[in-house]
Amino acid sequence: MVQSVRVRSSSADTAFDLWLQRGLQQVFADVAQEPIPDEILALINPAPKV
Amino acid sequence: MPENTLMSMTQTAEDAANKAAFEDQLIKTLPSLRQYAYALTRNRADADDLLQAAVSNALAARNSFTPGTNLKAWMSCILRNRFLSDTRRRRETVAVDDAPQELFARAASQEDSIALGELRRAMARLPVGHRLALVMITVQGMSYEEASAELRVPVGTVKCRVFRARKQLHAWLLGDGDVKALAVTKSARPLTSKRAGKISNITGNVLEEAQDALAC
Repeated sequence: MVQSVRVRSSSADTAFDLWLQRGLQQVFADVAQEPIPDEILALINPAPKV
Repeated sequence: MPENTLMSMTQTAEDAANKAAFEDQLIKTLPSLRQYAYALTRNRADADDLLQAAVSNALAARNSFTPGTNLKAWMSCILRNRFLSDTRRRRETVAVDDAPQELFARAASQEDSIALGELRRAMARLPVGHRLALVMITVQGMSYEEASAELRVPVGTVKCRVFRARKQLHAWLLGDGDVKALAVTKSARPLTSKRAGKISNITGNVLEEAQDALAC
């Protein structure tokens, strides 16, 4: 009985960890995939003066 | 051609190559640094401001970077230091109770599920050191050793922070009744001057904790 509760609890934890990982990746993937603002890129590579 | 002139030309070419390599590497690290900045600031606009400030600092301090070493770790350190100095500056002007409502703010979209919204809000409530460790391990796929080197804390500390962050999120999101009730009660209480004083103390403690957690 105790063992069965433990197994259930452990598999629930694993399911949560998996959901958490996917959720966080989704939340933060958007941040990484958005184009970097031009102002930041221009700091690194300023346009040549004409 | 005189030997001095030749040496000077060689040096100039080498400097130009190092500068180009530095800039290329810096651009490649930007998406990852942006995630990092988002984990620190909990707000997209602030994350971009922080990233821009850190890039400016990095370019000004470019000569202190040793070519061939870990640029991302160097940049992360600059980003954290900049975040800490900005936080210190804002310390007396930010009302702590107002912050959580706008944390991890994002325009709602159809695919944005309620569960992800809850996750964003819960992440925003985690201590900054815990949130950062969780993002490094779970999102950026770093090993505990890599995160330990980047955060400059022992591996055990990183493991502990990730464990506590997961446990806390589990409690908040999957119904630890006491924790949820406490959160609701706190946000519903009006702000008295006594409580404002307490919050100010808490802000100080949080800042000190952040400094301990993030110092390079």
